[in-house]
Amino acid sequence: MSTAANQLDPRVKTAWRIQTAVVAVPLVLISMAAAPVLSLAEAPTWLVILVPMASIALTITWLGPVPEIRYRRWRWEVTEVEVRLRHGLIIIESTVIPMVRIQHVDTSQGPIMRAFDLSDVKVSTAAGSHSIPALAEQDAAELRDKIAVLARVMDDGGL
Amino acid sequence: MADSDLSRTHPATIAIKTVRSVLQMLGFVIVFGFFQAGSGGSWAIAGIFGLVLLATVVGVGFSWLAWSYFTYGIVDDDLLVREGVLVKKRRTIPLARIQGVNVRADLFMRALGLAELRVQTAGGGDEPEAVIGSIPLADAEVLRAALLRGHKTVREAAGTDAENPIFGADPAGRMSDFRGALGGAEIAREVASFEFVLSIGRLVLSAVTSKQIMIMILIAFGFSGQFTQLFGTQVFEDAAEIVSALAIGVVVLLVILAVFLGMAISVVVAVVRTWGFVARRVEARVETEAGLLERRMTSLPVRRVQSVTIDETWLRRLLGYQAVYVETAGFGRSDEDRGGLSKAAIVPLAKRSEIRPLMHGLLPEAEEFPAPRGLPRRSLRFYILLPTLLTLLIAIPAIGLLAAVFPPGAIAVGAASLLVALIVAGVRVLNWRAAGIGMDGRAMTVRSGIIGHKRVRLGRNRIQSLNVRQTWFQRRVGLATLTASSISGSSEAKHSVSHMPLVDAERVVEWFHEGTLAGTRPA
Repeated sequence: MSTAANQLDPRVKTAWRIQTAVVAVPLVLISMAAAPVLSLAEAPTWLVILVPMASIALTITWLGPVPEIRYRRWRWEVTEVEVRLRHGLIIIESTVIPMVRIQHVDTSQGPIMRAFDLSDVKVSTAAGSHSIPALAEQDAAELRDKIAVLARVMDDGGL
Repeated sequence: MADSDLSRTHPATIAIKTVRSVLQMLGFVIVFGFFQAGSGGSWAIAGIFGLVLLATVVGVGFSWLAWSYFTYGIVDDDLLVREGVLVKKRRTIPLARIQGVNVRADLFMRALGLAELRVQTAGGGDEPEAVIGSIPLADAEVLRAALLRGHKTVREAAGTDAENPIFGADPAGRMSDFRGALGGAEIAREVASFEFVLSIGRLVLSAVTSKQIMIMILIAFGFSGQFTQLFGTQVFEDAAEIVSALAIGVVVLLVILAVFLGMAISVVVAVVRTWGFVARRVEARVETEAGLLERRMTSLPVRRVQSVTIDETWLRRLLGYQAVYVETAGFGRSDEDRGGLSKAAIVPLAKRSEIRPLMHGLLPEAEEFPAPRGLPRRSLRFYILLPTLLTLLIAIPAIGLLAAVFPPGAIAVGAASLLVALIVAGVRVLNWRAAGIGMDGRAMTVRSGIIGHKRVRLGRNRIQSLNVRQTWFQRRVGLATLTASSISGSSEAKHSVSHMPLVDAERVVEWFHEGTLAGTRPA
């Protein structure tokens, strides 16, 4: 399965949005409730307006464009010999992991991801691990099988 | 891969897990109860019983859930472990990757005839990658045999008679070996092809110029500054304050003495630990021996070496001395294998000119350190800017606050922050000068430091992964930060070069990629 750079599953955007909403919506509600409390405590007017406005603005950003950008900037590639990852907008990170260095693969799904048939793929080397946030279950399974096959190839030693 | 092939652990696991968590709770509850019993009396005791009961019921519930969602098994050539109620985790470990399997049982499990299997891979180190428990002891032994046999069968099937890359050709290379020096079975002494003995003078010098000593000296100087200050201002105070000041002065003096004493003790301890240091090359291993009271022998199979570091503290650099360290992978550690230090000094101290011949005798595979190339001018402002700005950023609100309350204090803090910022900037300039990266056909050198330079040699096929990171600012000038991951004992060691030209970073990635292609020959 030598593929050109792949993207994540597009359904991940919705999954991310739901994950954000679960946390953000209560926070927005709390900050909106805080506004009258703050004005009662005679806090400066700009603070009373700022707190709910800021949380609403942040939530809209994290629910709207951020998942789209994250999705668009994520690339992964699995060749016969390597796994390559690339992601980020303001800070771009690209990582190369040779197949023969991969010790094992984990997949994990939270309840939200499971609803979309997506799972995290975490690839572990002897040093540390690297994650691809959301692949379709099918792709995750294929990736795991591929690595299991290649892991049987012994690396040559030497410094 | 059918999940229906997977088995469950023994149902008694539920009981074991519950009892364990209740016992942990019990500790807190008893302490809490002691305090409450005084004021609450029988009411509190009833409450405690209720709590314990509740905890047990909840514990049983959670343990049952965890148990029913935990399955494991060997399918094809992999160990599959599937667990998790809310978050489903599915771990696949190729049998070929398993380095060790331990069977353990605590009192509870033993009473019920059960045991726990702990599977270790090269990535796990101290923590096992998979824990399967509790299952009947007989099943555990069968499973262990199956897991380890899979490892061997796969290698045989691969049809190669290459050395086992993990254990090396000789069994003694597998772990640190105390037995030879401390009695027990006599191990036939093989002929060493090279031996290096550290002289006593060098030994003491090494202990005195080590990093811990540097820190202690700085602390001592810091305190002595306090001390003279106190004495200076006290001249203008009345008698009572002079007396109390002297008392404080005495305390400070004692602290300084304590620090120097601590330094002396740590020097003595270091000397005793490294007494009679010998490093030798025996076939495919580097062996070291050291210690006066307890003689430690370590054995480092050359194939397990992950990186080689040549290091110098600033004092050593001034005197012209360096030290050589070797990092190995600490996987497959059994409980008795405590001596398997991940970072071993093969040359604790030697003159710069002696390093190359010593490496040639001890570890010729790594004697060649590709010459590092330094960083361009345009990286310098990246090195200086951020840390200096951060220092000032922290200082400005502090100054502002003080200016409103106590103006002279603000000036002092302002002056101090400027000084600190200048020092930070100076250190960063030295960082930039010391930073560098170089590569040849087999390995890469990463250089770093402030005054003393540290060079780390990473074999190309000892690099676990490579990462290139660019911030928006770096992108504008074509710079990037390169990080190579390697194994250090049971965890990760990251070797970074910050703000290097992107073009060069990409060249390193290409070099790494070529190594990967070359290494993947069918077995």
